[in-house]
Amino acid sequence: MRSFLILLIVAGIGPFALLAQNPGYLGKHNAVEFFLQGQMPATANFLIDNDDYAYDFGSEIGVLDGKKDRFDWGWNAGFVHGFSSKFALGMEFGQSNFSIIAPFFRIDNAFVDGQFGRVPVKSTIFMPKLEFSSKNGLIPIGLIHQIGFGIRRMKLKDRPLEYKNLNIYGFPLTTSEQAQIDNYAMDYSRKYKGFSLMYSIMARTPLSPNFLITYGIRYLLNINISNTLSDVYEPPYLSAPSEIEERMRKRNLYSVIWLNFGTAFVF
Amino acid sequence: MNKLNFFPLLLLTTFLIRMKHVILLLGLCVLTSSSFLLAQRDFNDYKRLVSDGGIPADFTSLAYNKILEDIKANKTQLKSSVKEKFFLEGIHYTINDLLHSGMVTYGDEVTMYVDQIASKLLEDDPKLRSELRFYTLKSNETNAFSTFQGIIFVTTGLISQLTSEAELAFILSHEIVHYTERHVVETFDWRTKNKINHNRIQELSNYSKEHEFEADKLALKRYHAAGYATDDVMSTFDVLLYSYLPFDEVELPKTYYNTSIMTIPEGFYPSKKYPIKAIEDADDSKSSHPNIKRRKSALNGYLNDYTDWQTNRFLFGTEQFNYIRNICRFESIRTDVMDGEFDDALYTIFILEKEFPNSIYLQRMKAKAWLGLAQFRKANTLLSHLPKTNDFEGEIARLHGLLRNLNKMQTSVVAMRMIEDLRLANPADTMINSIWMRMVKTLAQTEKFKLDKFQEISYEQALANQLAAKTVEVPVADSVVPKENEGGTSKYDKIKKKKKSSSEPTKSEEIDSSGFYLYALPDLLKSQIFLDNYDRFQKEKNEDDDALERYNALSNSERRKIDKRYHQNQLRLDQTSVIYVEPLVMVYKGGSVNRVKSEKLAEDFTDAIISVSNQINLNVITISSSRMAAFGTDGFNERALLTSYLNEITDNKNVDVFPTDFLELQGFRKTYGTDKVLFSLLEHSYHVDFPWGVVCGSILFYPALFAVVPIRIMKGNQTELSVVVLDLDQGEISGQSNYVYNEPLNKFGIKARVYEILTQVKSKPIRK
Repeated sequence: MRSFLILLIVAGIGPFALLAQNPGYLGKHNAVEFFLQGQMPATANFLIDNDDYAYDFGSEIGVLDGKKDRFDWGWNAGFVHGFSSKFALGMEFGQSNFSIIAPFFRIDNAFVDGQFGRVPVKSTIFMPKLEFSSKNGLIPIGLIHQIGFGIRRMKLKDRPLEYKNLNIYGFPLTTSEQAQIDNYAMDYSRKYKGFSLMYSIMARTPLSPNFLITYGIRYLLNINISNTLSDVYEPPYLSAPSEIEERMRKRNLYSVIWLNFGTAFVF
Repeated sequence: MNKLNFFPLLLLTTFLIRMKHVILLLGLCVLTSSSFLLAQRDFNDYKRLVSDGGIPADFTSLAYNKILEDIKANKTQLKSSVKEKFFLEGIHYTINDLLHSGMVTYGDEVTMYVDQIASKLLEDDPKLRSELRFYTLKSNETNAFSTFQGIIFVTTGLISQLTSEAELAFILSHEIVHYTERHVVETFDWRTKNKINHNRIQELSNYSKEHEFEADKLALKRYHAAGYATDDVMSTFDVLLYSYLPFDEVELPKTYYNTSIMTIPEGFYPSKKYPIKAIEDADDSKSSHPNIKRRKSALNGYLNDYTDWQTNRFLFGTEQFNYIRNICRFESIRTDVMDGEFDDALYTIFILEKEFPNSIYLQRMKAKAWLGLAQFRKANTLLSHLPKTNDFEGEIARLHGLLRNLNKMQTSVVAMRMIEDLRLANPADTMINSIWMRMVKTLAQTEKFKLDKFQEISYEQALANQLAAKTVEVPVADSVVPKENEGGTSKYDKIKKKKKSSSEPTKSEEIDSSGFYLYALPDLLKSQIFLDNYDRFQKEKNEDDDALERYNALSNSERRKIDKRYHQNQLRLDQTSVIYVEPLVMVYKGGSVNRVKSEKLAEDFTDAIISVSNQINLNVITISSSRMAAFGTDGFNERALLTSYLNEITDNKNVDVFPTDFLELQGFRKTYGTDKVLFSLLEHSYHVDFPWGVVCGSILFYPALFAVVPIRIMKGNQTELSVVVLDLDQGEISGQSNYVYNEPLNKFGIKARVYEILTQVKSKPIRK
């Protein structure tokens, strides 16, 4: 919220509101919108997933078959107020989903080999944003450019970890070792933080006096804030939060381009 | 006939069209000649030709619906449905544009007269008669053409040139044949089957000539049956041959523009006569029409196919023909004046003044024509409107020569003199007084024009004084001799100048005759009204010049601020009531106009105006061709008046146009209580543009492609909305705004823009 207030001050909404022509869309300047967003993380799959895993350890440990991340999706809901025909401020709240490769597990300083399923992650973002259009814009409709700065929080989804063929140095895990994996492999309560810089070009096309469809493309630069460097081994957890964080960081970094499609209600 | 058929239709409409929409059925009113004579108009107070009676369906139906009807009825009989659709779209939308161009009238006296002759020709064929509709096209082209739909247009320019009703009957009969023989469709079919290239032009020309010969031949049948004279068939071709000349050849006296105060030296007029060059046996190898000689020759043979020729030149009376022709001649003056053909207008006025010496209309048009000449000269555009000396022909050449020889100062002063005399003769006439005021403004704002050079005595008095005293000093004009083109002072220029000297104005030995204009305003120099207004306009100009100078001295950012405020205020009119005329929509697809979508969105535009005006409580009088059935003939005429005015302004954008229909526009203002008229043009296309710089940059820095390509695709929608505000009081464009944006086009998007425009119209200007 604080960053939103700062943006308000920086943008200097007063002059915009007072001087500029502001017809809005048929006199309406506010829009509540909801849209879905999606992307195919081909770059991330290509650059960081299986190859990375195999290279570091030279073993056959990898993800389970058929568990590649083919499509990420999310939803966003937001509010925008137009201060002039060319400038608006807004905020949005959204969630998106992606997955990472499971981290390396150690039991008594020994790596656990095998194949693991991908670990789903839910990312939540709160983002104040600035909207502006070109010379003859008519915010909230038309072709719009958006710039936003969002605060992001990520959490592993609390789902049982999938795995098979677990072993340590070729020996199958004992019952107690197996139980450790089941009970302590992942910390589902830990929150990972980051921020996002967003640029979007989108269009809002009116379909009725109150409803618009929105569509566009969004570029996100997601940067994670590292707060796990000192947590390399944190009993009783087998996985290192820093490794998870690193995987999230890489995964986010390569998730740049998103497509949006949704609807908006203007009033 | 030369120029008479469907080819000119496409060409003519291409040039004439500015506006949009519709079609159908003239209600076949076969009126008797007596019905015209009941309501004869007064040429001394001539009013422009307007449509009358119920509005025909041709003008109210959407082209799209007409196309569907024709496809359903298989009217074209073309084998390919693609070709059929292409043909129908082209023809219906083109004709609709013409019908709503403001130049076509229905139900008026001229149209009724043409209709009456057509009925006579088609007496024995009621079915065909019921298919055909006749309309008048206000154009000085000597032309008539029939369309695939069964509409036959006859121009006022054609009728103004005719000498008999029989000639008109033959022309109509010719056009009817083009319709019955389906020449328009056949030619289209031929062209689509035979790809036009250089070698094929000759074949197309021959093909088209065959149609003309056929139309001439078959036209004789109805013409003969109606009882018209054989002689007028041949004289029709004389009309066509000389149609580029004025409708009469009368010598313009060199003293015609002299007044009791001003004498234009004879040397300003060409010293020789210019022969008429038209020949019957012109090269027609690439023309769509055979030359006159061949047509006459062919027809001569066909004439013998008929016996018992009658000798009627006028079945409905000479008086009625002359009356209708006079209407067309008066209309031709209006058309010339609106088109900036002031030389032609002045010559026509000169001819008609003999018959109508007391016509206030002719005097108003004369004043307007002289004002236009002065304005064109001031804007350095007059010479391009006048024929070059080598192209001089006939008696009008004398006027052309005079206008070419008068320089900027001389033209302005002669115009002022003429308008002042017209004002003195008609002191109560609002239009002439308004033109006078505009002329004073033009004079005051003409570069280097200085009143203090002018003499308070007339030219004749100065000469007399000089002869009497031999001591009077007579000022020498800035421009000693009139020049067609400013030349240098090289040896070659001097040689050329000497060669030209024989045709230049003669000079008095004592007084430089080219300075005659310095003696042309002695009465005005003593007129306080003139001097006050002259000073006011000059002061205005000086203030404008100062403001421009101050603006130029500003920094770029300061200029941008001023520009921004200027643009913001363009549509802020502080109005509670406005007139919105004919929103035009052009949606382009694949390099051509998607007519269907354009027409539908134009309807949406009109709906949006009505809806938004109710929403924001602004009284908007909407006149649109897409709602013509509701507006009726009054709305049609009003729309024609306003579109003519807009065309007049846009055609002559370099000058401060004074409206030709000034009085009617004033009346319009009183009727609707507003002097602001809005016009809009909305254009849309989808085109993804990848400039070379962007392509190269993206290749060098390939990740940029992920950003550049989607952004370019999103920006592919290119929409431009132009709005023009006409001020009826001032007779000028008082505001214009252009919106360029990258949005897809739909009716709600249009409505949003209409809302933006109309809320501005209602709001007060931002002052700072």
